[in-house]
Amino acid sequence: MKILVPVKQVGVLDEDFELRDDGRDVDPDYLEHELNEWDDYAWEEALRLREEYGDDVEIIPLTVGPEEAEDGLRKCLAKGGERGIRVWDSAMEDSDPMAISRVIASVAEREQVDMVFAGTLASDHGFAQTGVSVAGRLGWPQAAVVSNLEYQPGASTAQLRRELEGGLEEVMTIQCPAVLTIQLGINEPRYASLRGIKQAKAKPIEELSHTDLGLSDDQVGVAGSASRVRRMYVPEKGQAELIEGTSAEQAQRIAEIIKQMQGEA
Amino acid sequence: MSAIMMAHSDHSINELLDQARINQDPYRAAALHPWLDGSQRAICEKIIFAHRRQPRLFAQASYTPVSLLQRLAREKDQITLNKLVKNTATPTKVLKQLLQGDDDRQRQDAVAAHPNASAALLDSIEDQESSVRREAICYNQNTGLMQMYRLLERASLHECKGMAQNPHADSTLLRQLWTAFGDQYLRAEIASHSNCPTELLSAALNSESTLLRRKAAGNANLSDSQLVDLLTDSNAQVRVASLRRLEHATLSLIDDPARRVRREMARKSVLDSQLIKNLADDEDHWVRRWVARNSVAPESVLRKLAKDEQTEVRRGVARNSSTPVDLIIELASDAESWVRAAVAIRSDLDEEIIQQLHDDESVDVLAGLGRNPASPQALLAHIAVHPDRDVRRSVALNPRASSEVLERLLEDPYPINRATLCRHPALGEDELWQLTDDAQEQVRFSAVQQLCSRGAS
Repeated sequence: MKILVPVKQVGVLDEDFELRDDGRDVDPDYLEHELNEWDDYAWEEALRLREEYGDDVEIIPLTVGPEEAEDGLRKCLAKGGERGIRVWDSAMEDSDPMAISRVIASVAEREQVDMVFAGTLASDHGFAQTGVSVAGRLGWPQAAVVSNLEYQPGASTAQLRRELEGGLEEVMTIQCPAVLTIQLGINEPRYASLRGIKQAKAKPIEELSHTDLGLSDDQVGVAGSASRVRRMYVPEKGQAELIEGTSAEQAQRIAEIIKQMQGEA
Repeated sequence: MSAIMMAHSDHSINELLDQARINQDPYRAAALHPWLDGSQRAICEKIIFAHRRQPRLFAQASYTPVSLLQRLAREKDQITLNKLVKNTATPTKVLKQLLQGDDDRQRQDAVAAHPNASAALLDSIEDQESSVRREAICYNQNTGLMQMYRLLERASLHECKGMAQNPHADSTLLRQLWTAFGDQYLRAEIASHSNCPTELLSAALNSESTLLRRKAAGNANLSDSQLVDLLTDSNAQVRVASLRRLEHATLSLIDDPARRVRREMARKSVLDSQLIKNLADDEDHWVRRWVARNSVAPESVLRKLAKDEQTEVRRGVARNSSTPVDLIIELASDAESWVRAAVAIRSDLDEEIIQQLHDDESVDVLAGLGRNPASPQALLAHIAVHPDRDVRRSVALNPRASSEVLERLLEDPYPINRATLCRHPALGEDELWQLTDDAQEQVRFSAVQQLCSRGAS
C-alpha cells in the first residue's frame, strides 16, 4: 500500500523585495525557500498512518523542482519514509499547476500508489489547484481542505471532515483510491530527531525527467500549462493609514478609528 | 583574539575552523569570525560569501557579530547594504563605515532613523532640503542639541513633536517649541520632559486640558506635594499618572470611583491597612489581584484572597513572597492549574510542596518546576524527557540544572531547546562540542559562540 505526498519548497518573501525585470514574478534574489506548511501537515498525516499500520504502508515524498528543492524532500525523510522522488529538467521551467499535476499524476501511476495526500495550497502562489488537478488526471475522487481523516490503509473508503465557510464542517465518506488535500491543524507535525536528520542524508532520492515519465515537451513547462502570469505588481495602498504624532495623539486617533468602526462616530 | 587561543584543553579554535571549512558551514564561520585574525578570518569569509544569499541573511540578523557586520559594510551588493543599514543591531561605527563614499540617499535616510546612529553621525548627514531626512533626525533620540537648534528654524509641527521627545532638548529649546505652534500635543510632550522649565510645567499643571495635566503629572521633577495635590484632580487619568509616581497611596482615595485609580493604588508598596482592606473587597477583580500580589498585604487579607472566586486573584496570592507556607500548601492543591503553576515557580519551595506538585499533569506546573532552582535534580531529569517541548525547555532555563540533567536535552528534537541549552553555563564542553555538529544552524552558531566565549574568559 503506497501513499504519495507531493511537497513543494515555497518561496518566502523578504521584507523588501523587487520584481523580476519581466515583471512576472519576484526576483529570486529576494526569496528564501522552505517546505510548504500545508505539505508538512500532509506528510505528518502519512507518517501517522505508517506508524499506526506498520511497514506495509509505504510513504513517498515527491517534489517537482530543481536541485535546491531536494531540501524539502530531505526534511520529510528526516521524519520518516525510506525514499523520495524529485522530477525536474529545464523543459519544466514555468510550469503552472496544470502542468505540475500532470507530472504528479504520472508518478502516481508509475508507482501505482493507493492514495495521494497533498497540501491544500502552497503558501507562495496559493492556486490550491495542484491536488485537485491530480485527482482529475487520475480520474480519482478528491476531497479538499481535509481537517480530519479516519482511514485504514487498503480500505475501500475513508471517513473525513472538511472545513467549509462560516466555520461549518462537513463529514463525508470518500471512495478510495483518492486524492486528499490536507488542511493545517489536522495534526501536529513533529520535529525531526537529530538521528533522523543524519539518516535522511543517506536516503535515496530518485531523480526523474519528464521524458522518464513518458511525458512530451508540450505537456510540461509553458507549453503544457493552461495559464500564464502576465504581470505581477504591488497594488496601491487602500485604506491603510499611517498614524503619526505623539503617543497621546496616536492613542486619540486609534480611539477615534475604533469608535468609527463601532458606528459611534 | 589570537588564533592560538584554546577553547578547550583538547580542542582549539583551529579545530572549529577546520569543522567550518570541511562542512562549508557559514554559521560556524560567522560565530568564529570575531575570534580570528587576518588569514583565518579570510577562510571564514570565503565560506560566508560563497553564496550571495548568505551575507544578506547575516546583514539583517540581530545575532551577527560586529566584526562580520563591519566586513559586510564593505560589500558592493546593494541588497546587503540596505539590510545592514536597517539592522537595529548595527553599531554606529559600522553605520559610519557604510556611509563613507556612499551617496545612496535612501541609505542615508535609514541611518538618520537608526537608533544606534551617534549625534556626530546624524550631524554629518543633515540635509535641510529633505523632509524625510529632517523628520528622521528630529525623531532620533540621539540627535544632539545644536543640530536641533539648526533644524528648529524650518521645522514643521510634526518635526517639533519629535524634538520635544528628545532627551537632549534643553529648557531653552523647549521654551521655543512651546511657543512655536500652540499645539496641545506638542505642549503635552514638553510638559512631560525632564528638562521642562518650571513655568511651563506649572502652566501645564494648571491647564484646563486634561492631556496637559496628565502628561505634566508624569514629569519626573514634580515634588511629592505637587503629586499629592494632583490626586484631587477631577480626571481619573491625571490621578493615575500622579499616583504612579508616588510611593504611597493616600486615604483620600479610599472611595475613588475610578477602577483604574484603585488598580494603581493596589500596586503601591506603602499602603494604609484600612486602604488594603477596602481594596481587597473591591468589586473589580484586577484590584483584588494586585492586592493579592502586593507584599505589604497582611496575612489575614491574603488568607481571604486565597479563597477568591477569580483564578487570577488566587494566583496573585500564590506568587506573593509574603504568603505563609500553609497557604502555599493549600494553593498547591488548587483546582486551577494556573494557580498551582504560580506555586511551582516559587524559588522558596520546600521539599514537601515540591513532592505535592511532582505528579501534577499540567504543563504549566511542570514547566514551573523545571525552571525552579529549588527543584531536585532527579525531578529535573524527569521533566527533561517530558513529551511537551516547552516543558522540556524549562530545564534548559534552570540555572541550577546539573550537567548530567542537561545532557538529556542534547538530542531534544526541538531545535530551540538545543539552542537554549548551548547558553547554559553548566553544560559541559564536550557536550558543547557535540552541539557544534548539530543539524540546525542556530544551534551550531550558539555552540561555537559559547565555546569561544568560554575560552576567552
